[in-house]
Amino acid sequence: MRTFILTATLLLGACAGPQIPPPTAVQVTRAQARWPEVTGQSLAHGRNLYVSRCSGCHLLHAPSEHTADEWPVLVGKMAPRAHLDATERTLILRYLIAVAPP
Amino acid sequence: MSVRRTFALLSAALAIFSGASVAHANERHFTYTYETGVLPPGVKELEIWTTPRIGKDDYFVRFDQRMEFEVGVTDNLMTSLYLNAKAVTADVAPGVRESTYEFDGVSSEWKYKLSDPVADAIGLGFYGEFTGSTNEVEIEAKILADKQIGNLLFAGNLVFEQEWEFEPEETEAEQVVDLDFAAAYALSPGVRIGVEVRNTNEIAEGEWEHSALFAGPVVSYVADGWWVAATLMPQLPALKKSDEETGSRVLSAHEKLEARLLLSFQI
Repeated sequence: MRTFILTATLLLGACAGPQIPPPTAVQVTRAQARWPEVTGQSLAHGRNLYVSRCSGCHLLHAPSEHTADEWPVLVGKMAPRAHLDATERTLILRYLIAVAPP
Repeated sequence: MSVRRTFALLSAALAIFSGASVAHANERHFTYTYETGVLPPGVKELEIWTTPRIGKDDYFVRFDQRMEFEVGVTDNLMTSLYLNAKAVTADVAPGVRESTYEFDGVSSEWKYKLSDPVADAIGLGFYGEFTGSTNEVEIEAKILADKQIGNLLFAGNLVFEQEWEFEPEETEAEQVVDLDFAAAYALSPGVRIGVEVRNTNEIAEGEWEHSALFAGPVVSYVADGWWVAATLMPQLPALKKSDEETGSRVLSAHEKLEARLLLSFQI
C-alpha cells in the first residue's frame, strides 16, 4: 500500500509542474531582449493568468505545444471569448512566447 | 451499405472532426462525471441536457430534460440555473400504458475550482446544487478531481445527495452516495473517446438499500464556441440489491439503460 501511494505521488508530481512551467532565468533574459520592461514577476503573473483564465474554456495547452510565432494568433482568437482585456492578453502572451520553443 | 462505403464515411467524419483546433467554451468531456473547470468571469454558456432512462420489468421510458444557463463569477467560481422537466411513458397496470409530462423544478449550481488538472499535480474542486420542485427538495454536494496525463484525461467525483419528498402523510427523507469515474483519450484536439462508470447507493431511514452500477462508452467533440458529449450507460449487475428485486439489477429505482447527451453553446 505504501509503495502504491509513493508511486502515485511520484507519478502525479512528475506530471504536475513541467506542463505549465514557471519561467526560468534564461527565458526571462530572452524575453527582456524583446520587451525591456518584462520582469520575472510579470512573466509569472502571465502564467497565473493563463492558468486561471484560459482553463475556464478548455484544458490548458503546454506552452511547448506551439511555437512563439503561433501563440499570438491563438491568443488573439481566444481573448475576446475569455473576456481578456489588453493588459491580461499581453501578460499571457509574453509568458507563452517566453516559454515556447522559438 | 458496403463496408468500403461505411469506412469512407467514417474516415470523412473523422477528418472533419480532426480539423477542430482548441475549444472556446467550458468544455465537458464526460456527461455524468464533472471536471473542475469553471467559466472565466462574465462568460456565459447555455447547456441542453437530455437523459433517456429506458427499461424496467415492464415497459418504461423516461426522458429527463434540463436547460442550464451558466455564468463565470470569478476566476475560481461559476454558477448556473437549471430548468428541469421530465416525460414518462410506462405500463402502470396490465394493458394500461400512461404518459405524463411535468415541470420538475429549478436548480441552482455553484462550482469552485481549487486547482487545475494540467498546471497542478491534480485538479480539485467543490460543487453544490440545490433543487426545488412542487413536491421535492434536494441538496447535492460533490468533491471533484481530475487530471490530464498526455492524451489521457481522468476524472472522479464523490457525490452526497439529500432528498426530501413531501407525501400526504409524511415527508420521506433519502440519502444518495455516488462514486463516478471517467477516463478519455484524445484522438485529436477536438475528439475524445472513453468510458464512464457510475456507482449509486441509496440510503433510506438509515438502511443501505442498494448499490447500482452503470458503465459505458463516452464520446465528446469540441469546436469553436460549442461542444457536445454523449454517454451510453447500461446497468450492470448490482453490488447490493434489496430482496424485492427479481433480477441481478436494481430496477425499482433505476432503469436497464441510461444515456445522456449534453449540447452546449457559448452565448
